[in-house]
Order: sequence, then C-alpha cells, then structure tokens
Amino acid sequence: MSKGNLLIVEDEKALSDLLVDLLGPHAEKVFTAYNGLEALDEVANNEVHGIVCDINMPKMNGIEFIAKMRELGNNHPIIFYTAHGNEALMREALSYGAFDFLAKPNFDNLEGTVRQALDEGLKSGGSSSSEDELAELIKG
Amino acid sequence: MILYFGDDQNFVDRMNSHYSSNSSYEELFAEKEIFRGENIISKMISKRPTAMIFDFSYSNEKNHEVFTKINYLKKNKVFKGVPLIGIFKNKGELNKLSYLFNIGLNYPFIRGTDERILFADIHYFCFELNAGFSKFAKAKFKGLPYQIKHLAHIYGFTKETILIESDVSFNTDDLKSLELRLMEEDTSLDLRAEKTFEVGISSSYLNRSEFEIPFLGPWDDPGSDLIHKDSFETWIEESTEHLKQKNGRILLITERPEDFVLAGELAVQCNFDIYVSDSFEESKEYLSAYNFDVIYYRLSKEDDPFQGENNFENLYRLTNAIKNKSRDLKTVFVAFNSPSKSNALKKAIEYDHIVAVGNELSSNQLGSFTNLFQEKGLKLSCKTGCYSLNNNESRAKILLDVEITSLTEHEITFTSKENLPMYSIVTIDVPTELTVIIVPPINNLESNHQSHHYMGFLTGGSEQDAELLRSFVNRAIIKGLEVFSLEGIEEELSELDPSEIINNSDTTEAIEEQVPKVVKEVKNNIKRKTNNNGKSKL
Repeated sequence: MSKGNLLIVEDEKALSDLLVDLLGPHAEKVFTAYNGLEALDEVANNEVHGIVCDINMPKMNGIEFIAKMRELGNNHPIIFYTAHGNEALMREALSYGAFDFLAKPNFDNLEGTVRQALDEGLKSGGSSSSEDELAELIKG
Repeated sequence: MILYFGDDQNFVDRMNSHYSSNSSYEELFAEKEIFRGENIISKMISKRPTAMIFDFSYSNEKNHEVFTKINYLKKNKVFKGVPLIGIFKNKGELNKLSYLFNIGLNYPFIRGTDERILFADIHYFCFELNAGFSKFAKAKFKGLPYQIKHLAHIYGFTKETILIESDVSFNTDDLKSLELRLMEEDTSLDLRAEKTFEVGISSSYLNRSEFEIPFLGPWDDPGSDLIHKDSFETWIEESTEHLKQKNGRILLITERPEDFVLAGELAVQCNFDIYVSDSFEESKEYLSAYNFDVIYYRLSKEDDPFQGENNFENLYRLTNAIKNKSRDLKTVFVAFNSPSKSNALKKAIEYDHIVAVGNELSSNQLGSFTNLFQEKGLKLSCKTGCYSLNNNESRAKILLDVEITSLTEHEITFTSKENLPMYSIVTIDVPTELTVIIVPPINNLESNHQSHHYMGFLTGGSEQDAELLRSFVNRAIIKGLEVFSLEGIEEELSELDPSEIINNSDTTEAIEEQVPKVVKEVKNNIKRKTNNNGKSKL
C-alpha cells in the first residue's frame, strides 16, 4: 500500500534537508520547495498527499500558500512547522484548514503527525472521530 | 404578517376581514398553517411573522415540545419581539396549560369572546400603536388598594433555597408573599429574597431570585406554616417523579436562528442547564456570569447571512476569558464547521479542551455529544445542586401591592412600587380571574417618585367573565367602589338591577380619528417601549 507523497516547504535549506532525511522513510516520495510559490508549482506538477510547511517564507508565506491551495480546491492536509511568535498567523491559518502546528526546531511528534496527515491525504483513515476525541477529553 | 397555527379557516377569514376593513391595519394579514411540530419552526423561520397565534383549541398534543422550541427560537434577536398568542377552548383549558406562560406564551384568548378586542390587541403588540380600540366605559379610582399576582416560575430547589424566575427584581432581604406548589401541595409562603440576578435569554423571565426556605426552627410553633426541614429533604430525595436534578451547564453559541430550536430540544432531552447566545458580546457576558461545562460553538460560514462574528479570533478570546477566570475550570469546547483539525485548534487557540468538528451543527450531533458527556461522566465543574420541577408543578405567583386607578372591560391601570417590565404578566382575581398583560400605556399616565403607573390589557376571561367585569365597571361608575374586594363586589352585584347594566359593547365607538397611520412596512424588530428600567419582555 502506498505511503503517500510528501511536500516539504521550508526556506532554510539545511533544515529542509534534515526534514527530508527524517521524514523520507514515512513517504513514498518527498518533494521540496523553498517558498509558497514554488510549492504551488510542485503541487500542480506532482501528486501530493500531505504537506509540511513553514509560515514565514519569502515571496509567498505559509498563510498565503494555504489560502491559494484552498482557493484552487486543494484540501490536502497541511502541517505548519513554525517558530514561536506566529500565534496570530496560526489563528489566521485555522480558517483555511490546518492539520496541525508543530513547533520549530523540535522534532517531537513530527513523524507521527506526518504519518497521520499522509493517511488523511490518502483517505485511508487514521484520524480519530470527534466522538473519540471527546471521549479522550472526558477521560482527562 | 400574522401566522396562525390551527385549523379554523373562518377565524383567519374574520381576522383578515377585520384588518382589511380598517385602513390603519395596512399590511397586517393572517396566514393559516396546520399545527405540526417541525412545520411550525420552519414556517416561523421562513415567514418571519410579526405575531404568531396558536390555536390550542384545535390541537394540543405537542404543545410543550413545540413551545419549548419556539421559546428558544424567541431568544434569537430576530424573533425576540414576536408575540405568541394562544387561543384556548375555555378557561379550564387555559388553567391546565398555564405552564405555557413559563415557556413564552404572551397572551391568552378564550374562544367565543370578542375577537375584535383580540385583533386590536395583536395590532398593538405588533406596532405599539392604537389602531381601533373600542372605547369602553371607564371606572376611575383614587388608588384602590389591591394585590395583583405576578406570574413566576419555580426554576428549582437547592436544599436551602427556592429559585424563582420572574420579571421582578428583588432587593436582598425583601420579604415577599408567594403562591406556589411545594411538596405536591398548593401553599402560600412569605419568603425572604437572598439575591436576584438577570438570567438573560436563558429563561422566559428576566430575573432569577434566590429565596431562603422558611424552615421550622427549634423555638417555632410546630403548627405554623414553616416547613419541616426533614420532610423537605425527604421529599427532594424521593420525588424523582417530579424533580429532575440539573447538573452542569451547556452554552450553545450560534448565529443561526434555527439552532436556537436545537437548544430547546436539548433542554428537554438532557439534565444539563442549557443556555444559548447569538453574539460574541452576549457570550462574553455569559462566561463572566456563569461557569460552563460544555460550550458548543458554531463557526460562522462565509455564505451565512449573519454578521459572521463566530470566528477563530473570537473563539480565542472566549477561551482566554475562561482561562483568566479560573485555572481549574476545564470547559470543553466543541467547534462546529471547523476546517482545521483539533490538534491545530488546540495549539493556535492555546486551549487544550477543544474538539474540532468539520460538520455543520446538527440535532443528531448535539444529541450524541451531549449523551456522551452524560454517559462517560464528564467531570462537572458546575454542579448546580439544583432540582427542577416539571412544568406543571413549577407555577408560582408573587403577590404585589398595587393601587388601581382605572378599569374598563379591556384595560386596567394601577400604580405599584415594583418596576414591572412591559409585556410581563400578572393576574387579578376580582371581580373575576383574569390575565393582565402590562403594555406601554396608550395615553400618558401620571407617575410620581414613589410609584410607577402601569396599563394592562385584561384577557383570558370567558364571555361570562366579560359580562361580570362589565357589570362591575358599571357599578363602580354609578355607585363608586372603595374597596376592590370580592366580598364587596358580590354584594354589590347581587343588588344590581339588570336594567342598570350599560352594555358597553353597544355604546362602543371606534376612535379612528385618534388612530395614527401604521407604517406601511411591517417590521419584526420594532423599537419597543420599555419600563423605567429599560425593560421589556418583547
């Protein structure tokens, strides 16, 4: 069964390379882009099932990128991998449909979250239902 | 437009004929719909009527269910000012269904009595303009002492207090006489108010007051009217048939009027106390006044015809308000219509107790989530410790001293020290049991610093009551009355020579020359007149 293709959108090349190494084993193929504009090209030219995306980037930032993606009718899961200080932008991203936010430069939970996002992108399930999530909350 | 729910086409025709006969009634007309539960809500939403008439003499199978939903719908700003009029077969039926006042009934009318009065009253409710009231003989008094009964509702009991919802605001330590049903018996009690607070749109009434239960102390006479604490506690523990324990609070925040009906359904189905809000400001007020266990938050959609206030930024502000209120408060938020996933929401909103639901808010989802909270035992932070009665048992009346200044067979004016909101409801027993709807006065009424002067429409009486009232007014005009009491009146009436009775309805003169032309455009949200405290129930 396909693991799904991942797009990494990150303007820092060193970090992008690191992410490719870390997340590569979880995906069928990994594509990279260094800003939102390049990312739109990658999405247009390749089959992508999940995206890890920075927020602050030159040319087109992460919020503009997700807004454009949704405008184009592309609803693939987008995980924002972003540094602290972007809280207002994070809330702006919510209205476009964010899958998760992970704090840079930590790698905690990154692999698991990418796996969930790719599963969601492949529509093979994996994300829990609202009822399950509520039951978890109730358990505390 | 008036929406009539019932099956009496002749009544609708008479109403339309009445309104079309008078140029003052332009744009007011009635449409008939059959009384069916679901249909009513959708019709109300789509037609946006100016007033609604429910003919309970036609069908009353779903009264409670339908009215509960409508009552919640009326909490939405679009429908708040729409008066609900009930037509009843007779007074017996009105008494049986009098709990409808607790869930939003604004005006009762008994079938077979003068419909012209009903039509004129409805017009007044809709526009607060006199359009063709008949001119009745008026008895004037120099302040006849009397006790009116203000309609109220027992919201619930704790083991020490009775919570009464009413439209009157009490000061701490005010001692009030109430008629209510307690421990399955009709009783009268003098109760001392502990505190009163506004309940906003969560109730048909404007205020909730806590009254201390007058328990029998060790030195009190056991034969007195005071309550035995042991018997009261036993009753609370054993009366599962009458009492329902309310634990926990749910707030539904949504701009869609139809969702207010879902809140009504939820209120019937679950043991949570349900609140509903359609604006950010109001939601903030609720959060500052109460702790909530669950908040259902419907995110506005782009194509909504509303203000679109329910966005993520305001959600963030609300969760912050909760965090700032108490660190221990773990209110669960469920955000409907969320394009983002729960984990994204938790991090961006910086609030852990939130679940995102991609779907639109629906009855099924609200029901299943609320069941889940009950079944899985959500740890409640808002234990109200409050037991509520079923509707039929929860009726109460607060006795208020007034001085009657005038009486016709349609209107009563009186002064009172209490601040009574417009459209609040009281009853009188003399000369016969009638409902009085406090309305903005047609003509200016003199007031002084010590008391307020009110006008009310008399309604809810039978044809016999109307005759009795007419005789009483006539007697008062001819002979004068010093005391507004049943004893005096019975005596007076027994002496009355039938030839003395002026048939007021025959001497009726329409006062069209005083009738201001009603604005052509019918609006639901007229700027309503209020009492001195700025209060109106509609």
